[in-house]
Amino acid sequence: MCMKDSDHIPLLKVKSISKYYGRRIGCHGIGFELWPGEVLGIVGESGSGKTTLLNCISGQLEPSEGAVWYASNGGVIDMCKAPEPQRRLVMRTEMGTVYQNPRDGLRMHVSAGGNIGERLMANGLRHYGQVRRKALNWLEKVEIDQERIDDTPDTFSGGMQQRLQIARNLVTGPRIIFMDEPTSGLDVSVQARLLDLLRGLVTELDLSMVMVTHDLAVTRLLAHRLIVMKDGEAVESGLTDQVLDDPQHPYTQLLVSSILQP
Amino acid sequence: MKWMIDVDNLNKNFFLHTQGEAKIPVFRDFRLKLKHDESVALVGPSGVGKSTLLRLLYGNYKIGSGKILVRHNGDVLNMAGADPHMILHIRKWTMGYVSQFLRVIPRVPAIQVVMEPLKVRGVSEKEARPRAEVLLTRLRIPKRLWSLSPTTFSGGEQQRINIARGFIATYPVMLLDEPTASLDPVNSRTVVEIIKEALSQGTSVIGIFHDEDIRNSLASRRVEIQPINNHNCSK
Repeated sequence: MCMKDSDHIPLLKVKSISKYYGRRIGCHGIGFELWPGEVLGIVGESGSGKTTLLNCISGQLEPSEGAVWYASNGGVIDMCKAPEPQRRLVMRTEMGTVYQNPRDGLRMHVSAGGNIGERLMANGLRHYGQVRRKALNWLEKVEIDQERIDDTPDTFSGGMQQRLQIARNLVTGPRIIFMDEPTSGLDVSVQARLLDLLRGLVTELDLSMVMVTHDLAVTRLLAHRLIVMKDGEAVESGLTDQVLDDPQHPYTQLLVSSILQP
Repeated sequence: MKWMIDVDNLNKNFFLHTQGEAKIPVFRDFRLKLKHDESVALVGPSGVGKSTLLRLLYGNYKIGSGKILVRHNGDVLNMAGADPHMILHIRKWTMGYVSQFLRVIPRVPAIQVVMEPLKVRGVSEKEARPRAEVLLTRLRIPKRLWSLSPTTFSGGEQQRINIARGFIATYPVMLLDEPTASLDPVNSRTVVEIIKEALSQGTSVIGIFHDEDIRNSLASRRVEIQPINNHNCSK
């Protein structure tokens, strides 16, 4: 039996992460493992600590307690304790972040091509023609008209801006992508297109993803596993279809039974 | 004969926390052994838990207590308490499942839906596509529908997409939940043929078949599921 799976060690090992803002709890005692090619959804209502957890894992926020082990190309490192330059390098070359608000993830007054090329150049690619070719290629992959390469993102629609953020992140071939409500500001039809695009890219590139969302339908389509958060704690976790079809915790049952079915 | 699945002392209750803490018992000390090359038909009145058992086997429902042992890649693994990563691996290589409903993904063409189980095993599109085409043709899905999302297909068409998706890859174990439910007689016969082919290739089956004739032609053994005494709910 052929094993395509990179099965030996998890890409990310999160060990009882807590983040306190003074006496207030951001998130508390959360742990999980993420394997190559896996998508993890973090769900829960606003204020439940989803984004705090995501920011702790993605190296953007220092957790108060716990550890984040990341199996980088150069070996396993503790993202919380690694020297700053090493952490930065890993974040720039192996990780990507797609923000809820495209303005946080894009340079709005730099051309689409420039937005995509920026990370390439930061990672040492200097040949202008190559940068531009890669940018064109990625515009096509995320279904943006290549003629828009010299336009700035502030002339793009919301859905296009989100796709441009994805291209900007994926161009350097990261192994893991962090997403904070990537579809929440979009129309349903545009949402479906983005989800479909993400599904394809995850399979094609064997990408891992951690995605925060309050939309359970989105997790059903994209995530292999779920963590359900409430008041900073993980009240339930497991396979996505198991958590949604046979929820155990009262709060998860409430969430699932509150979904409107069109 | 070696077994493929061994259900031992399985217990399952549903607790409905949002509906007055209702407790619905479904299985108590349930046992079942599926041997290699065997085809088991689950029988029993509607609501007794036949579909629930398939979902427990597939890891879709959480096991209360007891064991569900699965032979996977030469190892024996317990679905109860298995890590999600392991369950996904079992689903990818060892256990297939055809449910009664196709969960459609917006915008994804029918043929892609069918090819997916092969693609997650690392099979190229070039190799997967012709196999999907053969199945779709056999199941009489008109060619003009292949490139469309099944969202707008009829119930019977969706069910046939589901069958094609379920049988495109071969699995040591298949779980079938009324695979011929919404199909006309001609398509039903084709589905029965497809299942028989899988059986002859060494797949073991646990299935729910409401049609008596179909059940008799496919199953080598019947397993009766008994209602639990204080079972007073429609689940």
